[in-house]
Amino acid sequence: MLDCRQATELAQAGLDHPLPVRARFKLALHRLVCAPCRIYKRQIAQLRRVGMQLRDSADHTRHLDDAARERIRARLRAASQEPPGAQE
Amino acid sequence: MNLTSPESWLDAHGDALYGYAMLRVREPAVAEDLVQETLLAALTARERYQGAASERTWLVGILKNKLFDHLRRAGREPTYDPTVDDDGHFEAQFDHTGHWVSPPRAWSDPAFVAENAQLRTVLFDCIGRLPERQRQVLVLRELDGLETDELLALFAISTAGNLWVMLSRARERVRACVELRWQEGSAHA
Repeated sequence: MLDCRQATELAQAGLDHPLPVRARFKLALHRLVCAPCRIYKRQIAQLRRVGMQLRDSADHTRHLDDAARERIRARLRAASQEPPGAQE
Repeated sequence: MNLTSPESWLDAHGDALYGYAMLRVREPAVAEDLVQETLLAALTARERYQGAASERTWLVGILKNKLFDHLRRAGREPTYDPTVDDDGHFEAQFDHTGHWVSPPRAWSDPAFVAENAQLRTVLFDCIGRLPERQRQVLVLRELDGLETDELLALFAISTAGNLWVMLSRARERVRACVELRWQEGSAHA
């Protein structure tokens, strides 16, 4: 019988690659008798779903400060004035 | 084609590009460089922009390539041991008999189904607390949807097994962090 630690390892591994039949069976058996590991299974599924909703997302709490913005602006301005093909 | 000028890209999308980069590299100077490289590349490539995607999507696509180049350059550490990063965090979740020290408690589902601003803040904060490499692989795997072979190529991690251990540890750490913050949050609600 798996303990919770082993069940957690398997549940996590199953998010990256298919588990062997034997491992899946042991995991299912453990969850039959273990409520926390049943909850755990739901939690990781919920988190993965949220992760997918956040695809390509940005951290909106981070902003370019004025100095950085001006550095980039100056660089862009310089590059715009170079003849076509002369930019990096 | 309806494309605005490079400087207006900076005004309209600069913060979004920077936030995208910061979630993935965390060092402000690197994120700034990536934004600058992206806009310069966009300037060079703007004749080829078809207008099929939105301007934002087009710029994020360029930024993504710049980011991958950066990670490929920075990620070369052949003798990397993925378990070192975790600092015993995973093991500490269980007692000596292998049982949960603090058993997971169910989260209310509706909040997780909706795209919930509070949850997003908690999640980003928890992701931000991860060690550098754990955070990078986690974001690329779970937010950007990269597969095992793509991640192995980007980070030069020697085996898929090592990568999977790193991802497992990172996800478990984020889950435990969200659990803690979520219970705190609902206690106040």
